[in-house]
This record gives sequence, structure tokens and C-alpha cells, in this order.
Amino acid sequence: MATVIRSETHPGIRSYEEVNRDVLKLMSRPGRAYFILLAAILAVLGLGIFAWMVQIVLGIGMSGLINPVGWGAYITTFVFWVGIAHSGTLISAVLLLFRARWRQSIYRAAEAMTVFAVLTAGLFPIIHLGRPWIFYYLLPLPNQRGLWPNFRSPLLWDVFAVSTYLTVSATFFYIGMIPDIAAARDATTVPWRKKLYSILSLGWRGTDREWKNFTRAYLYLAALATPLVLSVHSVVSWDFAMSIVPGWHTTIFAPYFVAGAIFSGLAMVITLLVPIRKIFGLQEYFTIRHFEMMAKLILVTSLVVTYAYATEYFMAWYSFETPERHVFWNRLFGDYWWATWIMILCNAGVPILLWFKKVRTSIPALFVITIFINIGMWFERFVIIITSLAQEYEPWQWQNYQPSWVEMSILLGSFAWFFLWFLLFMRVLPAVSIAELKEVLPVPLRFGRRGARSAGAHGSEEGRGNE
Amino acid sequence: MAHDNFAAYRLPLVRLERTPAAARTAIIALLVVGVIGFVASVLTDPTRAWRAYLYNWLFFTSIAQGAIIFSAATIMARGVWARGIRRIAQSTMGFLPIAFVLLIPIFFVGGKVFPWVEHPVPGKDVWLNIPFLAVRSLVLLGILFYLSSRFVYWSLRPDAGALRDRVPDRLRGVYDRLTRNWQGQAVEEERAERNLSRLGPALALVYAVAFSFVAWDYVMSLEPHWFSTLIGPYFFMGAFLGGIALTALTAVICRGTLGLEKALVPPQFHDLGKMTFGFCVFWAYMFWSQYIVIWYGQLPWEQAFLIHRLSKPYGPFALFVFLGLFVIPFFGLLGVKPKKTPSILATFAALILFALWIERYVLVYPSLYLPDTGAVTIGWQEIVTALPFAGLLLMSMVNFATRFPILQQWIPSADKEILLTSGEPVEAVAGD
Repeated sequence: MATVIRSETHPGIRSYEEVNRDVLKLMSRPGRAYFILLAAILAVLGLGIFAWMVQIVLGIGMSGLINPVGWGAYITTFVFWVGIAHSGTLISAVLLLFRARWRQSIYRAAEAMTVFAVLTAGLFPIIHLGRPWIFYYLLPLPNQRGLWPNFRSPLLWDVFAVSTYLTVSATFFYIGMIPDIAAARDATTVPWRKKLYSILSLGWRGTDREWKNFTRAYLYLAALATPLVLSVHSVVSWDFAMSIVPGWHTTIFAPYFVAGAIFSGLAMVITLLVPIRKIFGLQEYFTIRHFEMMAKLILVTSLVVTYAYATEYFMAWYSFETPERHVFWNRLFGDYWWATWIMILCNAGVPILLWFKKVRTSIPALFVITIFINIGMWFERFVIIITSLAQEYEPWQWQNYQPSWVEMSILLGSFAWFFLWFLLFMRVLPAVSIAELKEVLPVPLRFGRRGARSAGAHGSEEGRGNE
Repeated sequence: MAHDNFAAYRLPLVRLERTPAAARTAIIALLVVGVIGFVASVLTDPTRAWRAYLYNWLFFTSIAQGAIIFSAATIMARGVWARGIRRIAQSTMGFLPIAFVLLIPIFFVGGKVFPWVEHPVPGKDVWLNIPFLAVRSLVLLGILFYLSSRFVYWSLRPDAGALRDRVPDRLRGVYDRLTRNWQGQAVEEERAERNLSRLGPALALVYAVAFSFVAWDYVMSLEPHWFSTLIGPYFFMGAFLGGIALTALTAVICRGTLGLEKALVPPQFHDLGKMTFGFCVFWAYMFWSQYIVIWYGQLPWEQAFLIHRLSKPYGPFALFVFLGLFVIPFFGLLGVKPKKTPSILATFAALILFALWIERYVLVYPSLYLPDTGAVTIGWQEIVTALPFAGLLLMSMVNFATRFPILQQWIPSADKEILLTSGEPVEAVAGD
């Protein structure tokens, strides 16, 4: 008899059976709270859509964009959401390759978040266009006018980077879900669900051959997705760094943005999982250990971001370049000092608390801290974009920018849009990976326990314990 | 250990009984030839000799410290796969105090090495002056090396206690010092684990800061008008890669000479290969992130740095660095088999170390010997200067292996949890 018969990460889960029951239960008839939440979200989304309509009808002048500050809250929010999208792939793919033993129950939710965050981010360049109906100018489509996008522009690289990321992360998300969809298919009695899951599960039966191909495909996709974690936000950072705007043109931007993205993404995972855990009663699935591990990663990435801040300021001083020095001085003590100090406080200051184990293992504390981080990371992009543009090389051009109500409404609407997808996802697809969770639970037969009978879709897994 | 559930996971306490004759000969030859060569080099062209000295110091300090950080990283990340190689990575510890001492001469010959001594940059001389440089370098590296030594000490201590009564007399004093105030195996393991978990993050932080300063002061300042925010991370991640490569190479050598075939198994080399591969790619990412921004920006004072390195005669060296640190290891180590085969992995590790040696040359020389006014390629001066450094590093590592067990036997309790459920191979059989 071995000494351990419980999973070290999920000590509260007793059997395979329980996993199927608990996870599939999430998709059953929702309570009233769910619909109230949905209605609230739809109302905010409505506000966002209304604001966008106003901008479309009355023109881009409804935003606060002015002459030197051609990029404002829209691009800030775009970068913010692309950043949020990073933690999902990190948790699902990178931690898989690193054989981290704590990703199983949270990665599905994080991955869903990734896909929805990219969907949200993708809206903003289009909103920012002002004339969204000509967004296809961004795509290299053959056309009779002989016009092509500028392939040397980082903005176009961005189109490719973000759409590649969306494609790969969505594929990875979907492939990983197939065995679980099959389990849902076998369990459900609702006709439309049965039909939907039958189509989505691609006839999965759980044979050894299917598992073999599945595992291999999953591993290859993980290997493919891992460099994307680095590349996407690097390309986003080059939207700025390639230009010679002071405060933008700096070599550290790519790794700095990637670290910031993972930082904000993990913070968002915690912000989301804390209420979900509470509402859906998933305490045994999202354990303190998960939160502590994520908190540690947040701490590490916060230190990287802090390093980047410090280096930027040092280098601005060391450069002895007047515009460079001015921009950084202006950030700290100029018109936007409040935004800069919010950024520094939230991203470099507040996470210092995570050095303490007591804080890392306190869910209310983590919830509050991660909200600060979310705010701080939005302001980071705001500071980078606005302060640099507002006071570039020539003082006679200087002009400050103020976001308008339209921009703020669309920002709020984007949160609603993101949460809407997430809420729908929670009800339609298995939000915790059933199959992978079982991999880290003690095998029932091996430990002489009452053999738990799982749903048909994972029949072969039990067989594996027998061999 | 009657009721030891982890007996099967415990690695044997292997120690090199005496310095192998070949190693002794190699060390003596390296030191003698190297010192004579360096003296000759100083007598013929002191400027060049000290510049060669600087870049060799950068390279050897980088890989020695990088290996320690690698071992700390696997301990902090609870990488139980690496439990057979952590101690091997720590064997470079002895070189760090030597590196500390070897840095000091550079301050006395600063005028030959740093362009800003002869032509001070107005304003920047607040930062770029020898006394301040010496103070900040020695303080930061002092803290870094001290923390490294504490880290190695605490990871060694529980094993030293287990081995204390069986070491030969010549090591008695060392082991008594290592196990001062011994409180019993179980308590000591707990203490060690607690101390390591505190020292690890501190060490990593100080490493990033101290090596950033090294990069700013000994690479970036050589072109006083050039600046790049990424040079620090680029430099210390390169050092980290060097540390991994050095560890891989040493692990393969130890496996053969110490008969560790049971303790260091192919799955571990597979993982070590993955780390090597991964950090080669990461090096390329760092390189590219810096390169593309400067290239695209086309600012004259930034581009000078690249142009110096891409024009003749430095271009081929820079190209070789890119091939040796990224392209060749990328394709070579892509498959599973090369990673699992110790000899192939060691070959790539050696290539990476060599390419990194060239890389540190490319970082230093083109700034000092501008391509259009008398470039200097690698000649006998550069090679003979590398020899004593290599000899001292080898000596430190062999010394470590003759004193201390080269495999870590004690298992931190956090690792035990993982070992039980991770399916890590249990092929290592305890020797005692």
C-alpha cells in the first residue's frame, strides 16, 4: 500500500466518478443568479455597442483622439486584452511541457479566457479604424486597385500575429476538450446538447488508438503554442518599439511586454476563478495550491516588469538624450503623473505582498491584489502610449489627450463582451478538464479502492490502470 | 533509515577519490602555458592583452555563475528531474571567488580597456569613472558570490552530515566546518530546505541585477554613446545558457568517469537537452528582440553598435555566434534521440560553450577595435588568455568533485511529494 492515496493538488476529490459528476453538473440548468448576471452583462454590453454606434454615425471625432495622440484608449485596451490572452496558453501549453503538476483543473478555464480575450482584443483595432467596414484593407487580399498592405509595417505583423494566435489557441482549446465533450455527450439527456456534443466530439469513443493520437496531437500543439506565448506580445510591443518615438523605441520592449502580458493574464485568471469557485462550488477543484502557484508566477512576472521599469528609467538618464529623458521625467512628474504612479504602485508595489505565504494562500487577498494588477496593467499601456505621443520631439506639437465617454463606454462594453462569452462557455462546455484531472488522481484499482466507474468516454483510462 | 520510503529515489553519495592524473596534467598545462602566454602577451601589447583578459573574464564568470543559477532554478521550480545534476552544476562554485579576485586588475589597467577613461564623455563621467565602477562592481558581485556560496553550502550540508564519518582525514576539517552545529539529519534537511527556499529567490534577484550591471559596465560602456535596455537580460540569459551547457557537458563527463550510469539516465539527459534547446531558442529571442528594434529604428548612435559587429572582419564571427548558439543546436537538438544520447548532447553543449566564448568576444572587441581603424581578430593573445581561466575553472570543478558528493542524496520534502506522483524514473539505486 502506497502512502498517498489522494492527489496532492486536489486532496478533496475522492473518485473519478466525482469528477464527472461535478464538472458535468456545471452545465446543467442554471440558477437565477446566472440570469441576473447575464442580464447585467448584456446591459453593459448594450452601452458599449451604443457608444460604438454613436462613433460610427458621428465619426471618430467622438473619441478623444487628437492630433499628436492618434492612439488612445482603444489601442490601450487592445494591448490590455491581448495581454490578458497570454496566461491561458502559458498554463495550458507551457506548463504542460514543463510537467507542472498543478495545471490540470484550471487550464481549461484559463484557455477559454485566452480565446475570449483575443476575440475581445481583435475588436479594438477595428473600432479604432473609425470606418470599421474597410477593415479588410488590413488583409493582403488580391484586389483590382493593386493596393497591398505595407508588409514592412509592424501593424501588419500584428494582424498576422494575433490571428495566428487566435487560430492556434482556439484549436488547442478545442482539441483538448474533445474527450470531455464526449463525456458530456454520453451524460446529457437534453436533445440539443446531445446533438451539439455529438458533432463536436467527432465520434470520440475513447479507444487506445484515439488516446494515442490525441495525446500526440496535444503535445505537438503545445509545442507549437509555446513560442506563440513569446511571439504575439513581442510583435505587439514592436508596434511601438519600431518607431522612434521616445519612450517607445527601446530594445527591452518585447520581453517586457511578454512578462507584463503573462502578469496581467494570470491576475485575470485569479480575478475570474475566485468568484466562479464560489458560485459553482468548485472549492475542491480550484484549491489553495493552484492559487498559490499562480500567485508565485505573478510575483515572478511582477519582478520582471519592475526590472523593466527600472531599466527604462536608468537608461533614459544614462542616454543623455534630451527627448528620452524628458519623456520619462514627464511620466513621473508631468500631467499624467497619476497614471504613472498608479501603474508603478499596482504593478511593482502591490505584488510585493505576494512575498508572504500568508497572502499567497488567502483567496480574498489574492482577489483584491489581482484587481489592482488588472487596473495597473491597463494604466501601464495607457502611460506608454499616451505620454509618449503627447510630448514627442517638438514642443509646439505637444497636446494632452483625455478619453471621451465613448471610449470609456466601449472599454466597459469590452469587459461585458468578455464576460458574456465566459458565462456562456461555463454553461455549454466542460469548464474543468475531466480527462486530465483524472490523470493526477490516484488510480482507483491500483490502490484497492472501490472501483469508480467513469463515463463511457474514459473507459480506456481505467483499463490503463489495469495493465 | 529503516523506514525510508524514498530509498529507491536516493542517489548514491559518490565522490571523486583523487584528482585524476589527466585532469591534473591538464590543469597544470593550462595554467603554466596560459600564464607564460599571458605575460608574453602583456609584454608585447599590453592593451590587447588586457582587453583579451576582460572578455575571457566575462565568459568564464558568466558560465560559472550561470551554472549555479541553473541549479538554483531547478531547486526553486521543484524540478525533480534535475536532482541528479543539481550538485554537478554547483561544482563551479569554487571559481567565483577566483573571478572576484581576477576582476580587480581590470580597475588598475582601466585606461587600456575602457575608452571613456582617455576620452571622458561629458556628463556621463558621473557614472563612467573607475572608482565608482570598482565600487559598484565589487559590491554587487561580492553579494552575488556570497549568496551563491551560501546557497551551495545549504544544499551541501545535509549530505555532508551523512558523509561526515566516512571521509578521509584530509577532508576532516572541511566536513567539520560544513557540519558545524549539526542537529541531526531530519532537522538539518528541514533547515536546509527552509534556507534554500529563502536564498533561492534572493540569489536569482541579485543575479539579474548584478549581471545587468556587468553588462552595462563591461559591454555597453565600451561604446560610451550606445545604450540598450535589453543588454542586461540578453547578457545574463546568455550566461544562463552557458551555465546549462557547462552542466550538460560536465554531467556527461561525470557519468563516464564516475560510473554514474544508473544515477544519470537518458530521461534526465532528455530533459537537460530540452533545457539546452529551449534556452538556445530563448537566446535567439533575446538577440532578435534587440537586433530588430535597432535595425528598424535606424538611429545612427544605436546602429553603430550593429554595424561594428556586422562589418569586416567581425561579421563572420557574429554569424558564427548566431549559428552556434541558435541554428545548429536548434536543428541538432530538435529530436528526442540527440537529447537522450549523452555523447551527442555533450557535443552540442561544447559547441554552445565555444560559440558563447566567441559571443563574448563579439560583444567586447568591435567596440574597442573599431572595424575601420584596425580591427583585431582572435589571435594567439586571445587564446592564451583563455587558458589560465579555463585551468582555474577546471581546477575549481575537480576540487569540488574530490571533496563533495557529486550527487545530491537528500531529498527536500517538497520534492518528495512530487516524486511520489510524478512517475519520474526510479532507476537510481542508493549506494549505501
